[in-house]
Amino acid sequence: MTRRRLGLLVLLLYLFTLGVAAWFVVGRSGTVRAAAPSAKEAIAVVELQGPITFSMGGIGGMDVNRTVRRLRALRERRDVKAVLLRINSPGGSVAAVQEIHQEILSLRESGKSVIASVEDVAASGGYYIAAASDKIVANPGSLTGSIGVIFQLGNMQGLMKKIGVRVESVVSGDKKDAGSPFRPLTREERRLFQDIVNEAYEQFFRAVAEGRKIPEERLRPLADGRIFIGTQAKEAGLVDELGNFETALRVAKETAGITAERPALIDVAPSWERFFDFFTEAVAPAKRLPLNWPTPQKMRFEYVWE
Amino acid sequence: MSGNKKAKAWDFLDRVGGMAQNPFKALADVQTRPDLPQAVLVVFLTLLARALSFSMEAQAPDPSTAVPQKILSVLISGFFFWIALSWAWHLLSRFFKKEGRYDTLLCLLGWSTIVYWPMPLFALMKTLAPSLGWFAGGFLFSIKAGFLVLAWKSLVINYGWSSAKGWALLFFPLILFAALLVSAAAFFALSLLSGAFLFKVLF
Repeated sequence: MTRRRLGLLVLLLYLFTLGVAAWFVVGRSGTVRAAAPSAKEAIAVVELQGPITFSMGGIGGMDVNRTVRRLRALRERRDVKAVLLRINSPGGSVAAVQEIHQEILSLRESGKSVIASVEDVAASGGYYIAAASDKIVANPGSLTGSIGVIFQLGNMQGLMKKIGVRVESVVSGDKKDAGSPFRPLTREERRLFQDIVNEAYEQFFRAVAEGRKIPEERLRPLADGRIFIGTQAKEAGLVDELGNFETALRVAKETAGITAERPALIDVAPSWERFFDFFTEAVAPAKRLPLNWPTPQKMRFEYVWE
Repeated sequence: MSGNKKAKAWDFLDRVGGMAQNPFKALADVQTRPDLPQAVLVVFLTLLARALSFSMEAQAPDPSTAVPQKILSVLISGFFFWIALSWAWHLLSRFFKKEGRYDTLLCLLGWSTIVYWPMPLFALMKTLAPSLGWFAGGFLFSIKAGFLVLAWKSLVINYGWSSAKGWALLFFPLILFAALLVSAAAFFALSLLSGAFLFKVLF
């Protein structure tokens, strides 16, 4: 056989192999199906991964503003009948969580069905968000619940004394430096913070009670900050169904009344974001980092499971 | 197709055939007549094969990760790796006063990647018939080993390294790269530990 013929044969074999592989990969991929823009009935998949805060930059954690913009954009899309939230989050700061929660409620008001699908964790603020959806699907081993608020303060007094540094504060009012790490909390300040924690907790509690339609007397004992594994959460009525992503898709189809056998899946994350995720996830599994990561901006009220 | 384009196409096929018949001889031919666009095309086809192998469901089961993005990632990182690795080998060779052109090395290494072309076939086999995994895995290993042999030959013919020194040079940047990765990972782990420790002390 001449070199040229052999070359042609090798090239044809390569193209054939590539074709079969491409057919296999594309055929099995949910997202490539999503590429059909002409689909009349579509399910949008929105990922809510990592700690939920308004923090600027940094690896990991979700950009709340970007998530809100995406959810808002989905309201206008006529082809999107249901939105599937893929949640894997231990929660986050109170306002950031409420921002997304409110957007999900607006999405539902606009006529879209919203289904939450829990990956590893949808605890605390993650669950607050899930509670706004029509239905929650969790894996039997997913962790959820942790209905509660936490506010932590550091006290560096001992350390400062050791290194011989004293910080003096000049304040306009005696509550201005409440929570300062350089002195202990006064009783009054503690009460002040406790009131805020209690109020944030009540907001969380009401959101879950209304979202899940659970009577207050039944929810109160469950809402003491404890977490639940998927099976327990199902039993307690905190989730509707046990299952994986495919189960959530089926629930989304049923809830939205989608008739198409295989509705288009729309991945709302743009390509460039996925591309950069490829690198950020390679350097650090940061989206899985707990919120108690050392950070100077730690002083905030949080719906978070620690 | 114009005469020139036709000649280029035949030349490409000749080289593909040559690589299948006698790869060392074909590499020598590439060294005497380097053609960068041809090498880019070979690398592109290789990376396409690698990207598809990488996207097999057994290796990437999450359906929410889009295939085009995976392919794009592999393409860009692959091209970067090709250029950077060649550059590292070229710099090292120049450091030891060896003569040789960088673009020729790019062409040689580009053509060496042709051994990866059957990769999707074995990745598919591994995915569809897990019981044949060891068999497919063996072939995948041979493919990688084959590339190293061709890369070694490329260094030898482009810079005139002896066989043994060629092997040493071949692994030097890879070891360096691995060492960098390990030290980066160690540094990252240390910073996490010290961060956590400080956090405990401070708060």
